[in-house]
Parts: sequence; C-alpha cells; structure tokens
Amino acid sequence: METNGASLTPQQALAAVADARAQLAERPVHPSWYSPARAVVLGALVASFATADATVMIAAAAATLVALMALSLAARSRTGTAVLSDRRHGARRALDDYLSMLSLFVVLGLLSPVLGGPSWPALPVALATVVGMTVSGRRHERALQADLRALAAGAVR
Amino acid sequence: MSAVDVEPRFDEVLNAPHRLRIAALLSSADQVEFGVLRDHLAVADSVTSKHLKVLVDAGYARLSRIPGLGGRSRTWAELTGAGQRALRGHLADLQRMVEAARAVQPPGPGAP
Repeated sequence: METNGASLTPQQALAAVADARAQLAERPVHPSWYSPARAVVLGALVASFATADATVMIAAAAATLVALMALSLAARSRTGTAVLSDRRHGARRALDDYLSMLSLFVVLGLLSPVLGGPSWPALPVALATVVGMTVSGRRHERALQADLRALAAGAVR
Repeated sequence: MSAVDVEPRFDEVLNAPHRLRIAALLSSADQVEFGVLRDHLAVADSVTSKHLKVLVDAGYARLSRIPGLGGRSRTWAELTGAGQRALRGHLADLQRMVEAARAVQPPGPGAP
C-alpha cells in the first residue's frame, strides 16, 4: 500500500512524531514585527477615542479590524503556520492577560476626553497601549512556543 | 508520549511514515501551509499532495485556500477531530507495541 517512505518500527515512528513536533516548535510562532505592528494598530484605535466623535471612533474601529486581519494574514503567510491559543495551556492564560490589558487601555482611552479635556491624556494612553500590547504580545508568543515545546516533549497531547 | 485515557488503535492510514509526519505536524498547529509540510518531508509537491489527499479522503485532514502576501492563494491543511482522535489512538498503539517489545526482551548478559 505504501509507496513513498520506508516503513518504520514503532520506536522509529514515535521518534519521527517527536521530531516533527520539535521542528515545528522551533519555528517562530509569529514574525518579529507582528506584535509591535499589532500594538501600533491598537494604539491608533485608542488615540482615536480622544476625538470623542462617534463617527471617527466607528471608522477607526472598522479600520482596526481590517488592519488586524491583514496583519494576521501577512504573519501566517510569512511563517507558514497558524497557531492559536484556544487548546493550549500557558498561552491561554497569556492571551487572557493580553485581552485584559487591551480592555483596560480601551477603557482608559474612552475616559481620556472626560478626564482631561479633548486630547492630552489620549496620547500617553495610546503610547502606553503600544508599549503594553507589544510586551504582552511577545509574552503570548513565548507562551505559545513553550506550549508547542511541551507538546513535542510529550507533556501535553 | 503519554497514552493515558486514549484507547490504542492501529491506523492503517497513519501507518505510512509520510502521513504520520504530516499528521504530527498538523496536530501541533491549527493550520500548516502546504510548503511547510513539503519542506519538512523533503519530497516533491506531488508526493505531499498524494499523502494529503489520502488524509483528506479518510476524513483526517481538511484543506483550504487562503490569500497570502501579494494576493496569491496558498493551500493550508488542518487536522480534523477524527484525525486528532485517530492520531492519538495510533500513537497510543505504537507506545503499547514499544512497551510490549521491551517486556519480552531477554535480560542482558549482566543481569542476575
């Protein structure tokens, strides 16, 4: 039945599986530019809240969605793999932290016109969003990679 | 590879080395691009396609075309739920065989 690839002993087959998973675990989960670029997009969204103009904010939210989808497509196209967090362990927690931090910045951005007039707090909040989401995004990437390594080592199925 | 709570089940489809490697890669990621699979196997496109088709026909994998950089579509593969279960059962069976072989091995010359 098999015409390509020599047959393997059970031990060799298990080793081949471990090797395949280990090789995948060593590939970058995302390109290095992905987290900073995504953070800049989110920072721009938060900055748009300073206008306190519903039309501007809705347009910014739509543009953000499009930009995030384009970034995601470009990133997976670059790496050749798509690794999400929903089935994993440490990465799931890191993603929860990421989303919590994003929620905090969004709330701060929305409050900034109320707290300090039309614009002044928005810029620091937007800058904090870029820095915070970059750091949190990198942490999520490291957690994903750690989960993949654990899978390769047989600790997680 | 832990086989806890998985029923060992030998799978003829996954017994082929290339298909087992493809399934192992797909089980780690949510989706893997065709070129990554081909490069990992170090075989031609046609060989990779052939093995992916067997996995798809068995209901173990799913293919999709997703736009990439420059608007060029690429083929991505993912393991289905049935594929995940089949791989776990097959790996558990391989583990069982390895342990059975160890159990019947004669003791070494230094053994009492």
